Parts: sequence; structure tokens; C-alpha cells
Amino acid sequence: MDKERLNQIIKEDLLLFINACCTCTVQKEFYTNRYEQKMSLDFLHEYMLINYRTYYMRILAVNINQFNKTIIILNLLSNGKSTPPQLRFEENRLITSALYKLPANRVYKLFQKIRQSGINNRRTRAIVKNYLNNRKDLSFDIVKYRKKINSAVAHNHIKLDGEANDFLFSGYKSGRFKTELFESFRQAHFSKEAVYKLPYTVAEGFVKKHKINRSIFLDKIKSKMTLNEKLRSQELGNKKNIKIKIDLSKASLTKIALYALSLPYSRRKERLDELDNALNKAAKRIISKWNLGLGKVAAVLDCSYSMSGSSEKKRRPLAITLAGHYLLKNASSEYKAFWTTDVKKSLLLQAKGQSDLNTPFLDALEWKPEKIIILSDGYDNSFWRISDIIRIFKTKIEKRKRTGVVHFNPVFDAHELEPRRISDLVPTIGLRDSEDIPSLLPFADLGEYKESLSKLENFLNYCKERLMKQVLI
Amino acid sequence: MNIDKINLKGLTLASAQTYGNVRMIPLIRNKIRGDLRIGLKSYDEDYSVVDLNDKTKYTSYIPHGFIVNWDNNGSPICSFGTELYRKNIRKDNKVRVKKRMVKKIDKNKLRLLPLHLSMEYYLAQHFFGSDIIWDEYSKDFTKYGLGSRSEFTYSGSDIYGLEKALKVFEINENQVGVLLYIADAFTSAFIVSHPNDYRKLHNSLVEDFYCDLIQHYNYLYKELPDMFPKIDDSNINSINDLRKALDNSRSDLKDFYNYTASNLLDCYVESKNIYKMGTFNLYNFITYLDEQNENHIGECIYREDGEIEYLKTYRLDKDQTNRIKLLKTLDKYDWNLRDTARSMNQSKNSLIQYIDKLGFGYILKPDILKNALNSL
Repeated sequence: MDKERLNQIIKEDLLLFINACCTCTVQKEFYTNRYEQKMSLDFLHEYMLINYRTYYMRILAVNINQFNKTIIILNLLSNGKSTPPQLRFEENRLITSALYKLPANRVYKLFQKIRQSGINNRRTRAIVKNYLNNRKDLSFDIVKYRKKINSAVAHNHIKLDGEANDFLFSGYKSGRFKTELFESFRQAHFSKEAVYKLPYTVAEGFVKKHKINRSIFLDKIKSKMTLNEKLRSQELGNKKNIKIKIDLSKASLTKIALYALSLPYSRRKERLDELDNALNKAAKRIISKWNLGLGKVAAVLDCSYSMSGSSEKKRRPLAITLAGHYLLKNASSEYKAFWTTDVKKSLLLQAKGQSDLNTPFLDALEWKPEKIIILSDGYDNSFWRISDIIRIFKTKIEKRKRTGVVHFNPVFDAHELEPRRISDLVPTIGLRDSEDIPSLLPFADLGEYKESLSKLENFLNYCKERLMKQVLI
Repeated sequence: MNIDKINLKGLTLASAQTYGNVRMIPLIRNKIRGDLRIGLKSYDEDYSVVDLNDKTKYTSYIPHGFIVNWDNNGSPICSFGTELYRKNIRKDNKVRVKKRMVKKIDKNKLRLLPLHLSMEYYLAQHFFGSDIIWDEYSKDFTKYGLGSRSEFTYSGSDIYGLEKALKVFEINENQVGVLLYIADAFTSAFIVSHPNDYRKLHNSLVEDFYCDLIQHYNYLYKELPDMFPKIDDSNINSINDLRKALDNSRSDLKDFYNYTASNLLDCYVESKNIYKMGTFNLYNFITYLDEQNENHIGECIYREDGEIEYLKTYRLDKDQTNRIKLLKTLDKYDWNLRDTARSMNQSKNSLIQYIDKLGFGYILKPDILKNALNSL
């Protein structure tokens, strides 16, 4: 095989894997179930680990989703032997840096998995120890993630500073603690008041023990909630007539969209302005970090029934579409949205009807934009194949290439090992959070056939350097 | 007044949706009136016995019945299950005994057993046999008619992939029905009056029964080819051209869809008006029987102006078609075996053999049957 073809295959493999890593979280989707998803993703990771070890670790630096980052780290740690000696330093740095960028709950879950898979080597022990020792507020983590840290500490034989080991292994029975949070946790076993000094999820465990009234509990604990917990408990609070104060616009864009869509139609209508403001603000915050400079953009947005997600991911694809709509609206100088059904107010959106991409796409073409961005799960059941329309448009109507078309897909198709494509002429990019749109847009160009592997390699290198520079330990 | 053709007046076809080997074509109603509503009532017994008027009994597993409400003045009403009503408590029986296939349960409220209504119509065809006592027929047949008739069918849940396909199907706005194809064989048509009722009843298709042939096709063909039209792009130079071409092919494709169901929609049917409710009529029908083509039985409700309000069909497999065709031919010649044989270009003995092959051997005297079978 000639070298050029080989490079092409490598590039396709890499893009396929990155795409899968951006979308898949082994959760049930509308068309495929957990097992299908898991089988496909496990295969992809194993394939990459064996065939492209170097690329595999560098992909840690790309903006893939957190779930896949933890799988990559786990796979790398369990296969330390096959790392080429000259790359050991780089790999360790990448793993450590990636760990610091991940949220604590993901990391501790990973540590627990390390124990379950029986991975125990000097490097892993050092990495875990290093991570724990560098946490800013370890005692908080220890109280909140007791079981997980317990297993990490036991498995890796770590001696933590202060009373941590005593707390982890003897619990509240070992007598008074000097550390405030540990002491509160001990007291919470006996006193109702101490419960409210604990993190929300830990306090929740004591509610039944002390038979605390749920309304009183919610009212008193609300100050201890994290932003996402507050967002999640909004409806619970409404039911109990307790106002849990939250600055909606501080939450992440996709999370706000998810919250908005979870509200019943009438409540959404009441809070239209508030939600609209929050989404716009969150979108602007993301855009300010990136120099996108999008001109006249048309968005073809799918809100068919299949975008409603699954029991595990309720309305997630739809929320990503809605959030993407707000992001693009704020990022482009001129913007128009074309939905698959008749949507008057985007916030009052519902996932229903057939996926007819033909009509909105043609409408978008007529508007003559510079860029068309399609947000859809790729299942199209209109009269014509959307790929045919794109082909005719690109080859027959638009002779001098001008309009760029990009397809973002929030759903991983387990059968095809990647987010379902709508056309060979249009790059398809997997999407887990709409916030990633700016960082993933460069991939659209890399996916084109004429682009070479070296460009992708450069991109990976750039991401790698950036990550290593950001997190200095 | 009986109907002689099933038409889809007042309905539009939308583009087909495919999942695995199941293809469904949505039917969209142009004007929603809401004066006829259909609700679902589930039964959880192991099997049901239906007491028919004429002292016969129909026994089958019946998963649910449809409750039809209508308004004589054409004003909108709500469907069964959405109104306030007293829940009747009943004992946990294993068998349910019902009176009649179609029963008026209240003013302007009708209970019918979907598809079983058609099946019963099918099974009861020429049930009482001949008026003339021909020598060849057994004593029992001349006295009691066909006696006990039965047919085997498969439940929708036995058809692998149907349940999932129904679940992931994207219901259109104002959709009231669907044409169902399994492995690209036209299987069934289901239409109701109101889109909300359709949403509720969409999944009930998996509880319906389907013939042996469909189950076979389902095993044989797991994937279907795409059904997208080939586009002639030689004359397309602008977006307007593209739009025009799309509109043209849209209507072409709709004709094609119609063609795929032509054995139901273009065929003459033999129908019987079984109930009249205000401006609506409930019919049973059997399509004009043709061994070379697909044949369907079904039930439908038509409005007086000819708009279809309810339709449910069952596709007969080959043996079932042959059985009903044989009974019809025998009846046409007053159950005279020689005349019937002549009309079918067969000898009398081969006709007897044919009768036996289709499972009706018991209507003939044993010695005549034996002689005929030995003679060949």
C-alpha cells in the first residue's frame, strides 16, 4: 500500500475514534441500547490502544468527553508495559494533567475501577498518590467520596496526612477528630444539626436515620448544594414551596437547556424571558473565550421524535440542539434557524414529528448563508436522501465552492461505530455538550479528504502542548 | 348500502419510515373533525370466548377491545379513557365471556373487538353449508354446517423487530394511520379518526395478529433496501429547480406507495354493513379473492360522505385464501361437487382431494373421501 493511502486510513481511524469519544457515554440511545453501545466503544478503545498507542494517549488532550477520558487513562495504566520508553514521560504528564482537568467524582470513580480491574503497578500508585496529595480540599473529598477514596487508598497503600487514614478506615467510631468536616460527619451520626454542615449528598444519607422532614431538610441544606445540585433540585423545591436560589446563567449552556426542556410546557411559557436570558448569557460567556468570527450562518435543526433521547438520556439530543441554537445565534453576525417542524419559540420546543431534513435544508440554501450547520442525529426519513440534495447542491448548483456545510451529531450510532453521517461530502462531528462546538469546529476542516494526516498530527500536538502548559505540577 | 372499494379519501401519504425489515408509511388526515373517537380497553385474560348471536362461539386470545364514541351532530367529543368514569371492579378471571363482536354499551358508545371482528366474519363465511342435501356430504355437515372452524395466526410480538420499529417510529402531526410492510410485503393498514387516538393506539399494532407468510418473510429478510427515488440532476441548475424536482418526485413517490398497497386499495371488496351509528357505518370486508395476489380481510368505518374513519386489515396467507375461495366456489355451485369441479377444470376426485388438503375433509362422507384419495 502506498504511503499516502496508509496515512489516509490512519487519519480516518483517528477521526472516527475522536468522533466516537466526543459522543458516546455507553448510555442507552433512541435507536441502540447500552450493550450495543458498550460493545462498539470497547472495541474502538482496544483497537486504538493496540494499533495507535501514541495517538491514543495524545487524544487525552483533545476536547473529548470525560467518560472516554477516564477509559483512556484506565487503558493506558493497565498497559504500561507497551509504552515506548521515549514516550513514558509524555504519557505520564498527559495522564496527570488530564486527571486534574477532570471533575473529582469522575477521578474517584476511575480510582475505584483501577482497584476493580486489579491494576497495581508503581506508576499507578504514584499517580494516585500524587493526585490525592495535590487536592486543595482533600478532607472535603474524603467525606464526600468516602467509599471510593477508601478503595483507592487501600489498594495503593497510601498514607495520607493527618487524620485522613483514621477517618477512612475506622469511621466515626474512632473518637473525636480535629479536622472540622470529619468531626461534623462523626457528630451527624448523633445530632440533627451537624447534618447541615456536610455536603448535600452526604447529608442526604442521614435524612432517613434522623427522620428529618424533607421540606425542612431541603430548606436548611440548600446553601451546601453545588450549582448542578441546585439546578437539579429546582423542581423538587418548587413542589415543596422552597425557593432554591440559583443564578441560572452561571450553569453550563447544555445544562440550562436540559433544565429548560425538563420543565412542563406551561412552566416554560411562564419563565420564557428568564430562561432565554440565562441561555444567551451562558452562550456569550463561551463565545468570549473563542475567536469564532462566524458570518452569515444558517442552522438546520432537527427536533424530530428521535431527538428525545432515551430513558437514560432524556431529551439530551434535543437540549444539545437547543443550546447549539443559542450558541450559534450569539456567535454569528447574521443567523437564522430552520427547524424540522414548525417552531415558533425555540424554548417551547418539543421533540416530535418525522425527521424531514429536506425542507429546512432547502429553505436554508435559499437564504444563501456562508455556513450551514446541521444539528441532527443523522436519521433522515424524508422523501429524498439529504445526501442527494447536498451532492446536487455542491456539484451542480454551486460551482465555485463557497458555502461550508457542517453536521454536528449528538448521538453515537453503535452499529456504525461513529455518529451517523448524512453525506460523504459533509463532515460529521460528534457532540456531547454544545459548549464544545467552538473547539470542535476545526475538525470540520480536518475531516475533508484532501487534508493530510500531518495537519491532524499538528492539531494533536497543539492540544497536547496546551494541556501540559495549562496544568503545571 | 355497502362499499365496493376501500379508498383513502381525506388522507395524505407521508414519506416512509424504515427500521430493520419493517417499513411504515404514515397517513395524515387533512381535516380533523373529532366527532368519532376510538379508545382502548385492555383485557388481561388468557383467552376470551365471544358469544355470537347465532348460538356459535368465537374463542381466541383477545388483548384489547376498541371503544368507539361518536356524536350525531358532528361536534368534537373525547375518547374512552380520557373521560371521567367509574372504575368497575371485577374478579380476576382467566376467561372472559363477551356478548357479540360489536356491542352497544351506552348511548353513542360502541365496543368492538378489533380484527377479531374481521376474523369472525371470515370464519363464518358459508358456515351453514348447503341447502340441498347432496349425497357426498357427511351427516354432520348437512345437519350442522362446517362445525368448528379455526385458523392459526402469529401475534405481533412474535414478529421480531416489530415492537422496536413501532417504538422508534416518529409519529407525524395529524397522523391518523399507517400502512405496515414487513420485509416489503404489505401486511396491514390501520387508520383511526383522530390523531390523538392514533398516538394512543399506535403500539397496539404489536398486539394484533399476522399471518404465517408474514412471519416467514420476517425470518428471511432482515434488512431492507432504501426506498429513495433516483434523482435526474441533469436539468437542475438552481435551488428552485431542486425544489421543483423534489415536489415532483414527492408526488411520484406517493403514487408508488399507493401502488404498493394496491391489492387492498384498488381491489373490489365484498362488504357487509354490520352496524350503523348516526352518520357512520361499520363494515366488514373481504377483498376480491385472487390466488396470485395478496388478499385481505378487515373492518372499516365510513362517514356518510365517504371519508374513511377507521380501518384495520389482516392479510390472508395462501392457504387461508384458498380455503375461503373454495367455500365460495362451492357455494356458487350450490355445493354440487361435479359442477364445482368442472368450473375449476378438475376431476371430481381431485377436487375432493383438494378439499381434504385444505382441511375440509370432514365435511365429506368417509367412504367417498377414501375412494377419491385412493383413486389418484
